[in-house]
Amino acid sequence: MKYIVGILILLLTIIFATSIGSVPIDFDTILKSIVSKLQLWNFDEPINEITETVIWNIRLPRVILAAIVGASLGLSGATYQGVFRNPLADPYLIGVASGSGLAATIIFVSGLPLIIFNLNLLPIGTFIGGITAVMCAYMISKISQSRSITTIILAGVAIGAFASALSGILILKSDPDVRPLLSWLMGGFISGQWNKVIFLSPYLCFGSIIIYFYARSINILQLSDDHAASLGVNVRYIRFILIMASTLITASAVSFSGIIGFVGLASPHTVRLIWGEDYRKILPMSAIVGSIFLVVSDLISRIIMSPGELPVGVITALFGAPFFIYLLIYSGKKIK
Amino acid sequence: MNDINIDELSFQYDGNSIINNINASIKSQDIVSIIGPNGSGKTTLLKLIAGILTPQSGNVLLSGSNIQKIPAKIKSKLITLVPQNPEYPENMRVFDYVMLGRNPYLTAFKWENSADKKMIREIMSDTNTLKFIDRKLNEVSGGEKQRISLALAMAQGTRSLLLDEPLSNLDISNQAVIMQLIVKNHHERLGPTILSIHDLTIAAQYSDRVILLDDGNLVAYGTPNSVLTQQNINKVFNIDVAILTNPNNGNLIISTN
Repeated sequence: MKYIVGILILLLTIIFATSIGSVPIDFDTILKSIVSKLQLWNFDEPINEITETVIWNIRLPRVILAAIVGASLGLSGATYQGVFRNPLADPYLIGVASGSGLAATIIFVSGLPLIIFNLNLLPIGTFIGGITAVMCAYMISKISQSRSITTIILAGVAIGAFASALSGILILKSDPDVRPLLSWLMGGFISGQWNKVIFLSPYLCFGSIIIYFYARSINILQLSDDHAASLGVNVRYIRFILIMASTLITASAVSFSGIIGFVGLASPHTVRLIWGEDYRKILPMSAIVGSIFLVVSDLISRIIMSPGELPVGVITALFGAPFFIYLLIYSGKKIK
Repeated sequence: MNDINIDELSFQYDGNSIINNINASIKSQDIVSIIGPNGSGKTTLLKLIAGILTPQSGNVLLSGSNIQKIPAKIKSKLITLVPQNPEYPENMRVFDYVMLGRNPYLTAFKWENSADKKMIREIMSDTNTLKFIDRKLNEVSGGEKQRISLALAMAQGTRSLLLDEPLSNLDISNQAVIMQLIVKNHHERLGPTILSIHDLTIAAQYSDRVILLDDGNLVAYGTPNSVLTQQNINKVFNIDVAILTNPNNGNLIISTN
């Protein structure tokens, strides 16, 4: 039931976001256009061709891309939180996003061909960058032997800052013609197109199937490692698989939308407050809530300074950073 | 038989010897207390018996099989260890927490069914935790949490049960409640119960056998009367004690002089 309501709200948000822009489009015009495009029904009066173009070539691909990236970030954030037993984990805060961003920058700046043997290098590169970053953050928290939940976050923030600094240097030293290509790293969906949606979806599907397969095991990882082992869970193996899967999802999202923070932090917490601590519910609901959050943030980013645009990461940070501070104070009281 | 045999067991960590060549044979009908000063290796010994840590030499044999060779999922149906101070995820419902104990019997495609749910309710009724079944874990007290964690272990339905300091942070009446639950549950299972404990009087009262550890060495293993002597306690804990007898039930009472 909650999934149906969640998906309905998401669909309404998508249609609402599609209707708003420099040329407002009626709600029912969009619905009609979608229904006839899907060939569910034929309407007598055809929809204005320009309106059709605006809906299908400009607004909808962008909104859908935001929805998919939001789902990716919400799901991977929930997974990182469960795997690291850490309520502050987020693909942005543990450095995965910046690591992926650095990898993407290297690929663009070095002039490597984006496609080799029909294989798109970008998601592979960003995955390697992301997994390196998260492994570094995890190792640092292990070596420091600190029980504090903030250690891995601090390590991730440091690694993220380092990676961003390297990206900055590379961009400044790069060919001025390449720089515009890198503007998407700031986070945004300005160039949202159907081919990106088509490219991104399989990564999200593949990653979420793997993650959901282990949803019940993530519940047991909320106990200590020894306790989970006593309950028959192969802790190292499952943690490894889940980190790989959520990093794959994050990296593919970063490949097309740049670095967007706090979606992966805020969505699982909202879900947890309402539906409790069962990852079989937290994972799918975090994807839905992350989707809604990012579609709304993207909408705000393009209307607030119209005709100009803000990077969507600015909007998510505007909401997400105060939320993070609240969590820091609240969980600090609980966990010392 | 579900005996546990500890055979020349040694464990080192970072070059330091934590457990030194320990031999002990634990019978399936026994409640065994592991006692010893802080840092004497009680927790490590429990983790070795549970197969969570791998010894550098020696074996732990569970019904004759080397515990290190038993696959994780099968092992989790035979033996379990409740760690000291378990994690209690604050937003998790008490019922869902106890249900985690059913993990060895579930898979990614077979989630808990009505039989599992019925069983959890029965265990929660036995452990007197049924009344906060729908509460979140941050809404129950320390003594209640210990009972809940014991219920989780019972839900796992293993023959052998290991408990690392199940009485830490409990008041005297909650200590008695937990120990009585452990004893009652012990008689419903087919394997031994092994627990580490600090309170020597409670160890004497409830155990069939006592293992006395000092700096990773087994100092004595036997009945409470044979292990808990003035001489042994003085040697290991460096303190003079008087050993009295409770006039009401004949149990040993160990008190410092």
